[in-house]
Amino acid sequence: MAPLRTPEERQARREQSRQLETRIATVLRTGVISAAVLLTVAQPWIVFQDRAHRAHHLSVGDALRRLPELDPRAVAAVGVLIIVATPILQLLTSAVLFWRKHDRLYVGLTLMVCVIIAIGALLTGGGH
Amino acid sequence: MIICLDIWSAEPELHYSARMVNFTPGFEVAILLGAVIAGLLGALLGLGGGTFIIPMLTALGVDIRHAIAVSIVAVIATSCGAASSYVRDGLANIRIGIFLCVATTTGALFGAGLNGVLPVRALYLIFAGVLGWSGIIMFRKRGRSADRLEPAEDAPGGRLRLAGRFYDPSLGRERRYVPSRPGLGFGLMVGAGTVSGLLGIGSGGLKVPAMDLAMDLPIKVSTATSNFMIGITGLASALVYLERGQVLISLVSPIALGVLAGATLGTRLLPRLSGATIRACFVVVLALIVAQMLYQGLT
Repeated sequence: MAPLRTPEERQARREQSRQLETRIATVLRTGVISAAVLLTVAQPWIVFQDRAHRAHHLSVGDALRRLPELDPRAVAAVGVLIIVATPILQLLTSAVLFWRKHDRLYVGLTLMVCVIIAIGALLTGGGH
Repeated sequence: MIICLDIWSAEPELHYSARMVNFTPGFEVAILLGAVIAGLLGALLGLGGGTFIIPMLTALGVDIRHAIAVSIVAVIATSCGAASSYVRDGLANIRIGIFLCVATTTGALFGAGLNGVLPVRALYLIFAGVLGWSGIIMFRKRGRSADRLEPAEDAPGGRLRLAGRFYDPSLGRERRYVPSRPGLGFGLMVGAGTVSGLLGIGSGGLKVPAMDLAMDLPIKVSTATSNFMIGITGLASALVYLERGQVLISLVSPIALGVLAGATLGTRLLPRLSGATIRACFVVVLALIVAQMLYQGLT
C-alpha cells in the first residue's frame, strides 16, 4: 500500500479499518450467539433428561450422530462445533477482507496462519 | 497439574483411568458457575480461562485428559466471546493479532517438533523465572501514566501499519498507540509459542507480557488482542482433541455456556477498569501460573 499523504486519505483508510473490524466482529458475534442459543436450549434439557440417558459419557462426535433423534446432546454438540468453527471463519473472513482492501501483506500473513494451523493439526493428529 | 491451553505439544503425562464423575445436576451447575468465573477472568486478562478450568475440573474428579480437551474448547469460546466485542470496540488490534499469530503458531509447531529433545523440567523452571520477572516488571509499571504512550496524530505504525486507537471510558477520551519494537515482540512470540509447544502450557500468560513490555501497548489492547489470538492458536489442538473423541459433551456443554456468559461480562467490565487495576489482576494470576510451573519443574 502506498504511504498516505493527505488527511482525507488517512480518514479513508481509518474508515476501511473500521469496516474490517465491524465485519470480523459480526462473524464472531454470529458464531457466539448461535452457539450460545443452542447451548442454552440444550443444557437444561440435558440436565433434566432421564438419568439413564445422562449416564452416557459421549464425545462430541458420538453426540452428533444422535442429531436425527433430536437428542439434546446432539444440539449441544452442534453448538460446540460452531464455537470451534468460528475462529476458522474469523481467519477466512479476515483474508477475504484484506484481499478486498488490496492489503497483500495481511492476506499473506492471514493465509500463513491458516497453513501453519492446518500443518499443526495434521502433524499432531496424524501422530496419534 | 498440567495446564495446556494452546498447544501442539506432545501428549502431556496423562493419568487416565476409566473413573468418571457422576454427572449430577449439582455437578453441572458447579462447573457452569466455575466456567462463568473462568470466562470473566479470561476475557478480562487475555488468558483464555484454561488456567482456571483444568484445576477446577480435576479437583471435581474429572480425568485430566478430558479436562485438557474441554479447556481447549473453553479457551476458543472465551476468545470468540471476548473478541467479538473487543474487535467491534477497536480494543483488539486485528493487524497486531494476525502478525503475532504467525509467530506463535510457528513457534508452537517448532516447539512440538523439539519435544523430547530439551529437558522439560528445566524449561518449566526457566520459564517460571521469565514469567516471574515479567510479573515484577508489570507490577512496577502499574502506575504508568497513559499519556506517555500517546503518539502523534495519524502515526502510521511503520510498514506493518500496526498503530491503533480506541475509546477508553475509564479516561473518558480516545487513546492512540503505536507498538514499539514489533520485531522484538514477534521474536518473543516465537519463543512463547515454542515453549507452549514444548511444555503444553497456555500462552495468554506469555502473550500479554510480551505485548505489554516489549511492544509497549496499552494493557487493555494487550489483553483484548491476546483474546483475539488465543482462539486462533488453540484451533489445531481443538480439532485434534475433537477428532480423538476426548471432548465429552456432558462436560463441554455447561462449560462452553458458562465461559460465553463470563466472557460477555468480562468484555463489559474491561473498558471501565483502569489499566492499573487490570495490570494488578494480571500480576496476581501470573503469580499463580508461576507457582504451577514451579510445581511442575520441581516434582
